[in-house]
Amino acid sequence: MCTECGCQASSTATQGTVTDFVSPAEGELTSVSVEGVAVAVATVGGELFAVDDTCTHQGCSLSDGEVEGTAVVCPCHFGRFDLRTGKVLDGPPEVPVGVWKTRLQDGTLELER
Amino acid sequence: MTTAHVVVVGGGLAGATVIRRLRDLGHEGSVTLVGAERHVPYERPELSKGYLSGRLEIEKLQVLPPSGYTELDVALRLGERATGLDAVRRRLMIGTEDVSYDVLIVATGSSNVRPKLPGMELEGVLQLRTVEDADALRLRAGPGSRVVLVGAGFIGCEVAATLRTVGADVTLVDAQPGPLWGPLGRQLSERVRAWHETSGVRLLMGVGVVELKGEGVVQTVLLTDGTKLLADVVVVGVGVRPEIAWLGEELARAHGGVAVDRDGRTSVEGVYAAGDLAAVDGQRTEHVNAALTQGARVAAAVVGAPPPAAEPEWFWSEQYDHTIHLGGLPAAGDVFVERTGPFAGFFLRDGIVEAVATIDNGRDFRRGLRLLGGRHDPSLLGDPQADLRKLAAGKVEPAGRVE
Repeated sequence: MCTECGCQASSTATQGTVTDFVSPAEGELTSVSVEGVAVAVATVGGELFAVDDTCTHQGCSLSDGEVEGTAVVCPCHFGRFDLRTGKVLDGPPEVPVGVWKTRLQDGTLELER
Repeated sequence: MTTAHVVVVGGGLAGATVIRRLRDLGHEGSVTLVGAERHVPYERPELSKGYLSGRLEIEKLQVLPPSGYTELDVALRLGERATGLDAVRRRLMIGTEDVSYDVLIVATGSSNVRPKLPGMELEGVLQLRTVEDADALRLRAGPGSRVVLVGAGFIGCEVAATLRTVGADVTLVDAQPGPLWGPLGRQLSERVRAWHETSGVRLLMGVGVVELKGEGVVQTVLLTDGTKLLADVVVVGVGVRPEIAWLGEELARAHGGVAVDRDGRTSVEGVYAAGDLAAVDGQRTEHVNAALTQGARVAAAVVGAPPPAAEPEWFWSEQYDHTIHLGGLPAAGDVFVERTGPFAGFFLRDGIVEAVATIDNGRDFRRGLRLLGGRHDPSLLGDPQADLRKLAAGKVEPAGRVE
């Protein structure tokens, strides 16, 4: 766990790439795997956002949820996380979700946190 | 009133939510939490599921870790039970001691109804509300043990699923025609019944319990139709009642609880209520979401912040690998429109969507919530191709009307 903010990201940087990545449609989500970690990727306003695909409340997959504005809503108990910061906006979760930086180039998605 | 001394009575989710939100909103006054349980506030839903099965430990259920209360500068008085209220002098009684407050939040929740059945005092007759209750059940109900669940509501159904999964021999008994018949209605009840039957739970519906028998320890359960069930453990889950006896007659009552307005104000100045016991506009709701939204509204009212947006009431239930979501209030006689594919159902009354339910389909549930209170074409509601988001925005034209 990250010692700075208590989020579930590890304190050392992790990065990885996903080849042949197809961006989800605007306002939709998809799930990818990087270094064995499931990551939810959303398209909002034409931009890609990525967070850990595991809700910090009870572990449901956020990519099965829904994008609302710049937030992702967990499909189980509707915790709402800011896709840009990982912050809990409302609902039962207490711990922020890990955020990944995204870069898409020639069909390859680079993720880093 | 950001410097007021706030005393929160009740260490459950509602009380913990009020505290979190007060500090979020910049409340600087001292805050005291009085809780009858010796634990910091935790979420109860997993007591019948992940905690009961041993998959989750108590730390995972806590709303905040114990250190969180130090960080929020909250004085914890756990394992202490409020015994009375002097609203005129603004004092909360805890046994022989009294604690002064500027603002009091009543969030003592509810307690389980104990039916007047012969044999309720026998060893092995359990209920489920607290961590200790779950520990006792975990200890007694294992592979092969015979468990009789009295009441096929949320507790009965979820405990049945969890204990069946760990290999117990489980029987569900309820006077209603099917499991969760009251809160979910017939169509969903039938699906829940099928999960339990497939998993090997014995369902005895439409029968009541007459007596629990045993020599010190429960051994048999006698039913109204004469059936005798052998039992090692009996779990009684037949509903709850608000935990308000300690309050005396100081606060106005409604729906068996404490009457409050939408911001959680009671009939007495400086006293608010939230959670299971709070009857908002005459309606009580015993679900997690109500504790969260009411807690947030109370905190906003205390500090004078704008109230959070109103949300429809909803809840979930998890059994086996399935999650049911239900929002709004279905009633007997509603027209039920089923959407095929991932299951979603809409309860219509006079053409208005009054409730929505989904199974393993949280996305459509969330979208369906936005349809509540609206008039929508049943053929579109039932059409898996029709996008519920567009329906909510009024952007889907019924087929045939397109030019």
